[in-house]
Amino acid sequence: MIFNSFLFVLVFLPISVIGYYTINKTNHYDFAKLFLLGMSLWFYAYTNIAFLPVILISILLNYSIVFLFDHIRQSVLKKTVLIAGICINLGALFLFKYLDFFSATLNQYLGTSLLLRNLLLPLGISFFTFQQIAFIVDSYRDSSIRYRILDYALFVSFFPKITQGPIAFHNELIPQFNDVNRKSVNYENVSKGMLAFSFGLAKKMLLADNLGSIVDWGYMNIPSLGTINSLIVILSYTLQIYFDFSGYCDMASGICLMLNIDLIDNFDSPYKAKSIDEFWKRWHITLTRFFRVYVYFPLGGNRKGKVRTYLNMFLIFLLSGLWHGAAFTFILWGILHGIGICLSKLCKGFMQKVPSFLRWLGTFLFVNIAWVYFRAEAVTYANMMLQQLISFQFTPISADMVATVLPSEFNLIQKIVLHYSPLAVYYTGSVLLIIFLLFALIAGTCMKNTRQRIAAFQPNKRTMFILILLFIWSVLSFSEVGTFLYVNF
Amino acid sequence: MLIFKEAVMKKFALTTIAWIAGILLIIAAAVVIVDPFIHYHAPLGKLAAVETEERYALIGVARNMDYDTALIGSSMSENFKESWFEDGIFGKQCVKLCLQGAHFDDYNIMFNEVLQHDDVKNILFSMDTYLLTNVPGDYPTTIPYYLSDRNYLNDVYYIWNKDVLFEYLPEFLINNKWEHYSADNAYSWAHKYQFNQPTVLGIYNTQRSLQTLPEKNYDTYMDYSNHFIASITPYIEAHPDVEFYFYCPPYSILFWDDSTRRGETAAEISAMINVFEHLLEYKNVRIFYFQDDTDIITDLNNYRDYSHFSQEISYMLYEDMRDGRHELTKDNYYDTLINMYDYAMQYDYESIFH
Repeated sequence: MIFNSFLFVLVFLPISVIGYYTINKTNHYDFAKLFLLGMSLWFYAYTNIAFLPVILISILLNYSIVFLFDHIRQSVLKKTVLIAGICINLGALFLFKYLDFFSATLNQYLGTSLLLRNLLLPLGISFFTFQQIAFIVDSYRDSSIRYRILDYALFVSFFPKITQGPIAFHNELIPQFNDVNRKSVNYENVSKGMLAFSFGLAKKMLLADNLGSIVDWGYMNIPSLGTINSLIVILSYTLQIYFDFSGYCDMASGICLMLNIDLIDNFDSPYKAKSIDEFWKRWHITLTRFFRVYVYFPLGGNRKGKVRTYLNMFLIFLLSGLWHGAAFTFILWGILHGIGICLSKLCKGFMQKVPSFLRWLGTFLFVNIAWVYFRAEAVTYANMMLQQLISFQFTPISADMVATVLPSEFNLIQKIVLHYSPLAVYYTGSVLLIIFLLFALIAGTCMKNTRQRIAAFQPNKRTMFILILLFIWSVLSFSEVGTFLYVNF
Repeated sequence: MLIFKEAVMKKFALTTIAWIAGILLIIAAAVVIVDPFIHYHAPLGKLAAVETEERYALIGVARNMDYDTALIGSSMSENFKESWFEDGIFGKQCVKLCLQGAHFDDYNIMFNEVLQHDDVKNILFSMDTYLLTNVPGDYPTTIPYYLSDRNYLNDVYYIWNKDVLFEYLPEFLINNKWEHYSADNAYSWAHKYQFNQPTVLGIYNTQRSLQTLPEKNYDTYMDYSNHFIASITPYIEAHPDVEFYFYCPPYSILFWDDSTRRGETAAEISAMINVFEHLLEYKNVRIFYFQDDTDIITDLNNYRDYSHFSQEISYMLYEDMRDGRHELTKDNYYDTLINMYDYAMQYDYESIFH
């Protein structure tokens, strides 16, 4: 199931919120948690019921590992169980996500004939694997970290965060599930949650998806782009991925607030960053945190000399790239950011003297270029896209792009203009496209983020109007009328 | 103070939810009442089923309009006018249910819907050659399921649809004022294109196969044509009171150039012979074959590309069907198709280009 669907918004979410508080009102708190667990498993299994055994086994396995910690006295054996547990978790992730990539790479470069399994990737496996690794490591280190199976299962499968994070830690959520003061409806949180959810939904439906059609068109037509069109496509992807991912996290936060739970933020206006170092304190905050706590620090962090520090940082970003996807493009993206963050730290002193705007511009440009590798299906296509950018062929905005990607809100305007002149359709469309892109750019780089809006929340008519407008407009965007292109007949 | 704040927040939350519910209800009501895709009812009052988006609207037209004659087909049929078939010979009320690029999964839905009408007396069906040569199942229907099924729960995709609300609902009302988009003219594209030889050749020259391929076996499409027969005959058998008119549109001579160059002609003609042989066994089937009308097909000024003909030609086809010309019978279908094959194989195509 996805957040941006009629089923979720009109059925699942109201049932979840109303059901949770109704059961809590009877003081049967465990039943309320059981109810949320059931709803979470339904949410997870809705996409594909085959995924359900994967997450259930993962939960039971990791819970059993911590159970074993309490029954093993020898520290060596205990550590062995921990390492085995981490390996099993990473092994499962490797099996589902990386095995085919690994096999295909060996086949290509070493001439092997390894079979590709084409296993379906269980939803959210990258997220719940890391959450559970954090849990078993923390439980190993601190024997007071012990939870009931119900609490733990709910933590792992909790539907607001199961598919796309954030990578919340057990000690951030489970105490809240058990906090009696959070069991009754808090209308301030419900209101804030609705606002966060609406903003997140609008980011996804009104911005990200429309930007996505520009990007999809662009990557299918790279050779014909030229500088202007490639710039539009590259910028569109930079904004698309931000609004899509942060929009999802906003919705997750909003849902949690409605349930009187505080979920950690995952984004903090990353495109306002003035260095790569700062960028990674604002982008996918929980992933950076996980790598810092469970990889960087165990490797020695910055305590083993400068060279080792930079190596550790570089490794983190290499792993981060790999975590995002099983392809060389993701690895290259990670490497670029690894280099970027090393340079950022090396030149920190010098950069302080550079005007703020230029630091921001340099960071933004770097991030844009790196995203090209993240989006492209192969390194070759990424290079081609960047070549188009620096080709200095200033062909006008593609008429095909305008016709294909203009958000459907403008269709009626276009049809009215068409009565006067077909050429006017292109010019109107181009102007509308640029206005839309500029708005998205300003929204992503200058406007308040959702967390700031929630912090400044006022229950007035203006807020209500914006909430209702964004929500309704987004819900209406769940369904569109497609135009069919037929080939011959 | 806290209690007051909570009361304010409660009022905010509940008022917001009430507004959202109310607005969604109003939107739903507007869509249900105006119903631009004719999903719930025929147009109210003086409104007509004008042009909107055919894949979305025509299933509704098939379901909710009153008619005794249905014209089902592809873009080949879009230039027909419903009023032509309301001449008392075919019937009194006709609906045009034509979808560009339609395949049999689309037609299946249309046939099922049309044949639920007890008043239907005639179905005219445009039998394009590709229906017999495309792999069955390769082209799933493009008619939205939430409009073709009878599950009202998934109507949320219609009643809360941005494009329906902001584009098609106003367009439906506006088009009711515009003659161009009247129900009779709906989905016709004749006014949008130029019909002349230079235009046709200009387009065709960019597509013409560079090589001539070996002739395919005559039975290459036998299985596909049998699949077509198996798909269509249940409708014919279940409705013996309905007259089924199958007509083969007159593609231009360039279609046959393409067919012969790709080595398809024998296989296509054989598939057609197979279909006609089976269909002509039924008393409620009439077949009209226009592909051999050499006066039409060799005059490229009748076309906008290698297959699509003008509205004037469409009218001629209507007249011929009305008057019984170009009709195939058990006695003449085989010779007609063989003659078409000979004509196509012997035609001097190079003379077109010089």
